Order: sequence, then C-alpha cells, then structure tokens
Amino acid sequence: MQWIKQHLLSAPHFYRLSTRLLPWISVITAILLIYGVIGGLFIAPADYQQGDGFRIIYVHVPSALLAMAIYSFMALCAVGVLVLRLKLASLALINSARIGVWFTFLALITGSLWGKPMWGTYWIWDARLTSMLVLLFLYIGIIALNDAIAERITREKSVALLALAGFINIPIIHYSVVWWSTLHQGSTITKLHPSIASSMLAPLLAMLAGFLGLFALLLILRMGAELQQQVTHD
Amino acid sequence: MDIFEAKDLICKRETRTLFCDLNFTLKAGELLQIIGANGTGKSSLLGLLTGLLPKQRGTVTWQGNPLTGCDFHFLGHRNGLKAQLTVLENLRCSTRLRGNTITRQQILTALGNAGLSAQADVMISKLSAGLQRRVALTPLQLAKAPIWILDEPLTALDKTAQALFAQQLTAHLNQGGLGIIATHQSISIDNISSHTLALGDIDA
Amino acid sequence: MLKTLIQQEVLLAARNYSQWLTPLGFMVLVIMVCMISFTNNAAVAADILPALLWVSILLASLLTLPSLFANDAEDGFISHYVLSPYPLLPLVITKVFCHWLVHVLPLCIAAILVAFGLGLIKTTLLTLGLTFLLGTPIVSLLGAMGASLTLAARQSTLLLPILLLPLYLPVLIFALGAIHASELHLAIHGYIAIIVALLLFTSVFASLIATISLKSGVATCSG
Repeated sequence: MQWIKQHLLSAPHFYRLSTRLLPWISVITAILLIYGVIGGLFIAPADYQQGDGFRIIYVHVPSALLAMAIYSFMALCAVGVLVLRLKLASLALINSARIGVWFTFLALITGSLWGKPMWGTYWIWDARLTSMLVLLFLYIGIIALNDAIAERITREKSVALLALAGFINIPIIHYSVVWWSTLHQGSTITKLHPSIASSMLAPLLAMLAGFLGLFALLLILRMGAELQQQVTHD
Repeated sequence: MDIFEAKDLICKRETRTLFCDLNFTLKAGELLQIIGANGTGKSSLLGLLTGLLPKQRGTVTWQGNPLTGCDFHFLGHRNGLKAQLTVLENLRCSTRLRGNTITRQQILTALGNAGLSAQADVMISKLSAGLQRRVALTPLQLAKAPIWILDEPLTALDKTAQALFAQQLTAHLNQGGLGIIATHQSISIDNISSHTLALGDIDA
Repeated sequence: MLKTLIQQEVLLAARNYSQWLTPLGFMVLVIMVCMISFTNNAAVAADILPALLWVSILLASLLTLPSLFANDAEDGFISHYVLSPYPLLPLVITKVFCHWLVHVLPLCIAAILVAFGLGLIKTTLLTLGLTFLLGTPIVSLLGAMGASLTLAARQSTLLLPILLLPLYLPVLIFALGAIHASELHLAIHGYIAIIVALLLFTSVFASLIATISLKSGVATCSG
C-alpha cells in the first residue's frame, strides 16, 4: 500500500504517466465520438414514434450516466483524501466536480429539450429530471465550498466530507423523489424503449465510451495544469 | 520522565513553508518562549502542539505518550469566554468541559487571588479587555495541569497583572510544571531555565 | 457535564433572545407573505398550508445555522470542546440537541400555533406536530453538519442553503406524504417509520461528519 501511495499515486509519477497516456486517450476518444455522432445522427433509423427527436439520447443518456459516475468517482476520491491522505485525490475530486457539473447541466438541458416533444413542455417534475437537478446542486455545493475556504488542508477535508455526505444521500434523495413523483404525477415515461435496435445501440455505447474518454482527458489536463501551477508556486 | 517532546513538526501555508523539521524537548520546570514577528507561525506552532491544528507530519509527546487534553492548559489569542455569561458561569462551564469538578467556592477563591472578586457575577461583555484576559487566565490556577501552552498571555494586561502572572508562572515552574509561551514581550524570571525558540529565520 | 453544556446554551439563548426570535419572525413573515398571495384562492391556501409551514421552518432554520459553531469559534470557546478529554462526538450531538431545543423547537411551536389559528383540522394538526417532532431533528443534524463544513468558509450564509436544501428533500417529502395521507384518512405508520429511519441514519452520519470536520477546521478559525 505504502509503495502504491508513494510511487503510483504520487504527483510526479502521475504527471509522467498522464503525458504518456494523453495522446492515446485523445485519439480513442475522438474516434469514438466521431463514430457515435455519425452513427447516431445519420445511420441509425428514426424512431417510429418519436421520429428524429429521439436522437437527443445520444447526448442525453451518456451525459446523465457520466454525471452519476463522476459523482461516484468523487466519493472514491474523498475516501482517498480522508483515509489515505492522498494529495492527488483531492485534486482529482475538485476537478472532477468542475467537469461533472457540466455533464449534469448538459443532461438537464438535453433532458428538457427532449421533454418538449414528449410531454409538450420543457420541464415537468419527473423523478429523473428532479434527481438530476438535485445532483446539479450537489455539484455546485461542492465547488462553492471549495472556492470559499482559503486554508488548504481544511478545504480539502471539508470538500471530501461534503462529497461523501452527498454520495450517501443520493440514493435516499433519489428514491424519495421517485416515490413522490409516482404519488403525485402518475407514472411518466421513465424507461427507454424496451427493445432497441442494434444500429441504435452501438452508437449509443460508443458515445458513452467517448464521453468517458472525454472526462478522463479533461481531468488529466486540468490536474496537470494545476500541478504545474503548484510547482511554479513552490 | 517528565519530558515534553516535539518532533519533526512542519507548517505549510498555501504557498510557503513557515517552518519544517522543528524539534525541541522540554524538561520539568523549564520554560520555552516562542518569539518571532507576526505571521511567522507562532500561533500555528501552538495549534500543532495542542492538536487544534491537524499535523501533516511529526509527533508531540508528553512522558512518552501522545499529548492529551488533560496534560495541558491552553489559552489562545481569544479568551474562550462567552460574552453573554458571567465570569462564574463561564469558569464553571469551561472547567466542567475539562473534566474537572470544581466547586463554586474554589472558583471564588481563585478569582479572589486574581483580584477579580468584585467581577464574579459580572457579564464578560461588561469587562475591559484586560479584565477579560485575567479571567481567561484563572483556570490555570483552578485545575492543575503540568503544561501551560499560552498564546500571548500578557496581551492587554497592566503592570500589576503582568507581575501577578509572572509570579504564578514561577510558582508553576518551581513545582515542576512546564511552560510553552508565544510572546512578543519576553518574560524574564530569575532562577528558571528558560529557552527561546525564534521563528521566522527559516525563509530568510 | 453534558447537562452543564445544555444549561449554558439555554442560558445563552435566554440572554441573547434576538438569535432565536429573529428567525421566528422571519418564519411568520414567510407564512404571511405566502398566505397573502393566495388570498384569492382560499382552497389552495388551505391545501398548501402544511407544506408551507414545513418549507418556512426549513428556510428559517437556515438563518440560525451560521452561528451554530461560528459563535464558539469567534470567542475561542470551541477549543474547550475540542481539547476536552471527553470524546467530541457526544459533545457535538449535545450541541445539535441544544440547537434543536433553542432554535427549531420554537419554530415548530409557532408553526403549530399558526396552523391551529388558521383552522387546520385536528387530525392533520396532530400529524403535522408528529412530523415536526420526528423530522425537524434531522434539520438540526444536517444543519450542524453544514455549519461545521462551512466554519472555515467565507460567506457561509450564502453557502448553507445550497449545501443543505437538497439534503432536506427526503424528510420534507415523507413528512408531507404523512400529512397528505392523514388528510385522506389513510394510515401514516409507514411514513413515520421512514422518517424515524431517516432520523437514525442522519444522526449517525451527520454527527460523525460534523465531528471530523470540527476537528480539522477549528484552528483555522480560532487563529
């Protein structure tokens, strides 16, 4: 463990590794995204109910999944900060938050754009949309807390604790919101079409992987920039 | 052995290192005065010693064990007194939190020794800064603790009160107590082995 | 020892009455403003009254939170807790209890009185009181967590609503669920059980997080 902490997760090693991986990740991400966009927007057949409107899922679904995945990753980082006292983990945590908040925002925007043709309005208090909105505020809270505390150690600990508190509350919030919306709204369309054609699915998976790559890419770039800034400060 | 030992302490602020690899040991009856200009980390050092500030590295031990709250009295910049409570109420609550059961009579006696009898039932907010500081110093006499860790104890005190404090400190040290004091005004006491730790010349 | 702490907090609240009276006034004003805006539709006003009371308690409680630990940090009293030979966790829980007793309970009592005055029917009133009794401690617990996390932060007054309101959602939803059920004369045990479960869960994780964060954040504020 100590070895991993000192070697694999140390700042210089991260820097070396990330500069070596960066080109590969960029190329793979670009390929996946290009395939996803072409496959999703042009090749996949239009949905027989929703026409071309459904194509927004190629952005919506991956960004929504990413929004949740990134928050889980942040909780993992928080454990790294609090238990293992990894300097890199707090850097990863806050930068993930800054990226994740945009994926959450994107998911909300695309969700409400998709809602217009489906529900006739941009916003309804659907369980998924509401949970996503709450998630957005959890992200904003973390970023705001990080920006408001000047002292480094206190800041890193507080942010990590908040991320953990948010993470253990997400399921509770989600289920209470789901329960609430089924009680008051009647059920809304909450699932994708049960059977999805493979020509529709493949680009979706590609987009998902592409978004994941994009996240990794942005995270590495941001962390690298911040590490370099710290080095020049010292 | 009654030895207080600080090992390998480090204090980093955002971009600069205030001190690193700071070591010292202190034996029974010794006084350590920490001097240095503003912002050189005197208060931070006391924070690290008491445990109010999380340590990034290093250890602080007393008699070979990690220092605990019962081993010392701490008085920071701020007095730790509630403005809306009277002197008696304040001392009663803070000594309870330390785990000492102290009677009203004992508190009154200690206040009498400090020349604060008349203020016992006065609200802290009604007292002058000097009187407040003197109230904050009374717990030192109320419950015995081997180590005193004080941050600028003489702030706002007048000549008489300073002399009284010096006298109390001497008595404490002569009984085998230890003192760690951050101060601008160096305290000179006869027949006491006093060390000085100057902060601030690491960066320079 | 915990008794001394509670006595001290109550004494402080008695002498410093504006600290809990101001949020109380704020809550009544929120209720008034909302009720006035629904004057034209008495049915809607009566319908949303329990929800409005809950929301106004949540909002008013936000005003009481910045001072929860900040007062103790400002005068340095907080070092007495942290350096106390007693473990910090029970002290924090006592502190949360005092916050509930001094700040939140008056809000609940006032809200019940308002509901009574505006003619809420008796069964709903009882359910409302029960959800207050079991639900508002969650507000204090989460609030203490938020207050401790923002202790070292600038502008904690602005931060707290963002951090806390999302976390308040579950208790709000289930409390209002219980009230809704009792209006329909349905059983409310299920909701109450969920609120109790939330309370137990929150009291563990929120007080733990508050304790850890106080330990790491105290010195930066007590200078």
